[in-house]
Amino acid sequence: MKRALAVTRMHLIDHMTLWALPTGILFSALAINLAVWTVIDRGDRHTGGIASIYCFVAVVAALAVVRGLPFAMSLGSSRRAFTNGTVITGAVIGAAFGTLCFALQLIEHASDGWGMGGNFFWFTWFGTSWALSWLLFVVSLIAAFAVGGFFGSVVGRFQMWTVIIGAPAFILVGGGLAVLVTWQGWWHDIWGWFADLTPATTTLWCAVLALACTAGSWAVLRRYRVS
Amino acid sequence: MTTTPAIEVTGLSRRFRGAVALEDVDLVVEPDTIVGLMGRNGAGKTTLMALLAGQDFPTSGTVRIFGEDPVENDAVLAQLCFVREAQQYPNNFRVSHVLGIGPQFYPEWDAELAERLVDTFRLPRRRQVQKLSRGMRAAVGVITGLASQAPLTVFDEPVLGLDATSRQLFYDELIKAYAEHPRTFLLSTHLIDEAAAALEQVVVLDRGRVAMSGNVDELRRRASTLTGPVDSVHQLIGSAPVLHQEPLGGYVRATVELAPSPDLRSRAQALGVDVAPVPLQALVVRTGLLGAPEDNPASEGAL
Repeated sequence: MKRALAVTRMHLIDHMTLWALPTGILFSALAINLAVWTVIDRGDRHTGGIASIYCFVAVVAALAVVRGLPFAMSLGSSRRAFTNGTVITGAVIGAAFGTLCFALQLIEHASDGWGMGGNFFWFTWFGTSWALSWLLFVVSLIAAFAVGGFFGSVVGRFQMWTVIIGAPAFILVGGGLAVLVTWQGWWHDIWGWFADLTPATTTLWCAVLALACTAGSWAVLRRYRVS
Repeated sequence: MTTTPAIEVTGLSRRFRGAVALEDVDLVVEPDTIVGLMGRNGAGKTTLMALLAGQDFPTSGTVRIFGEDPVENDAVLAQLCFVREAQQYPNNFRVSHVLGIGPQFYPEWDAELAERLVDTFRLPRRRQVQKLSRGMRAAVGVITGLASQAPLTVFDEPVLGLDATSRQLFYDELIKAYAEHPRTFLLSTHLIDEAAAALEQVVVLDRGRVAMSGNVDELRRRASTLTGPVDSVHQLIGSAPVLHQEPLGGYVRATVELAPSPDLRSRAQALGVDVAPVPLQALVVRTGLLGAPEDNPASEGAL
């Protein structure tokens, strides 16, 4: 546990990159959206700007594994201690940014969408339960971290093979699924499934995704060797 | 009472897709020893170090560090620090971050020493490690290894890229650190004679096998350089294995597996032949040139 926490501290030591940068990105995305809303006069004021924080968290996780693991292992960290420490890091980052997003959502709600009916932190239908709304932010950000971490694990372990085998495989599998879904006429059901998601089920699916990616990362990192 | 060796490697082999990186390596390093790991490029030095640090998996054979398998063994790994020549650092990691994180991994981390060495090596604390020059990056690695006070500290090419002054500083600090807190150091280097003064034991790898291994002083005593008239030198050599011979007009300089004993010296003096000890580097170079260890007269260790 002590070794795992050392890894967590290693991941979290760079405050500038970890906290200041994404907060800056989030606020500038918000500022740009607010500016656009003032200029453009349209009823529908939704935006996907919040995706920036999810992308950032995923990239941080991928880099944390690819670059952090060789360094941690040189300081005598085991693969297991590194994985545990990185999972704790994901929880800390998810909780911190999730709480920040939730707080901003509260402000957005209280200020009637920044005074112009805007929806930046746009999970308005989650407003049914504030506790669940907070939980969804946290869990979905942890899921983003886990997805990025899994990608980093694969790249870290297999390096060039990830691209050589991974890219064609992704296209084949993805394309094959699309053909299958079209052929069977499942598109309607799939969109319907997304439309039927509630805050509770979305949180649950995010948790499943996070767990699956973490298990996948460990399966890949168990036999990782530094090269 | 027998002490557990710091490093005990038995029949260790590592193959990569058919290519042999290490073949049947046996090695024992007693605790509190400074060992030099030598050999030509591609001899298997880094592979051996990675296996010792539990960063790689053996194809066959065993590795024991302080009596235990290092792979995924937190108790052993906590006593180990392995700084690579091309050490990777986390994204945006600065020199100050390395100094800050060291104590988290090593309870015995010597912060005072680390701070002093940063000044000695003139490292900019705020600079990102990946953006430092090669020599400065090497210095960061040297500082990490020395300040960690890890019972087993492994350095892969620690002085590569360091200027002459910094290299001397490293050897001085290494000996000082060892004198203050005896521990085991394993370091690979190509600058053999420069490092020789700090080393007690050397292991020479050649094409994945141990070509030569032993105490530095004993190895040096195994051979002599004889310089003198051709006939006289050959008379002294007799049937002893010749490692190297250089003709110099009517003279010859031969590196021979003959101990520079008082007897040899007095016979040489009578014949007008000069006897000199063999520098460690010359011995290692000859070992590397002689090819496969099977037909290598200087070999020992794994065979």
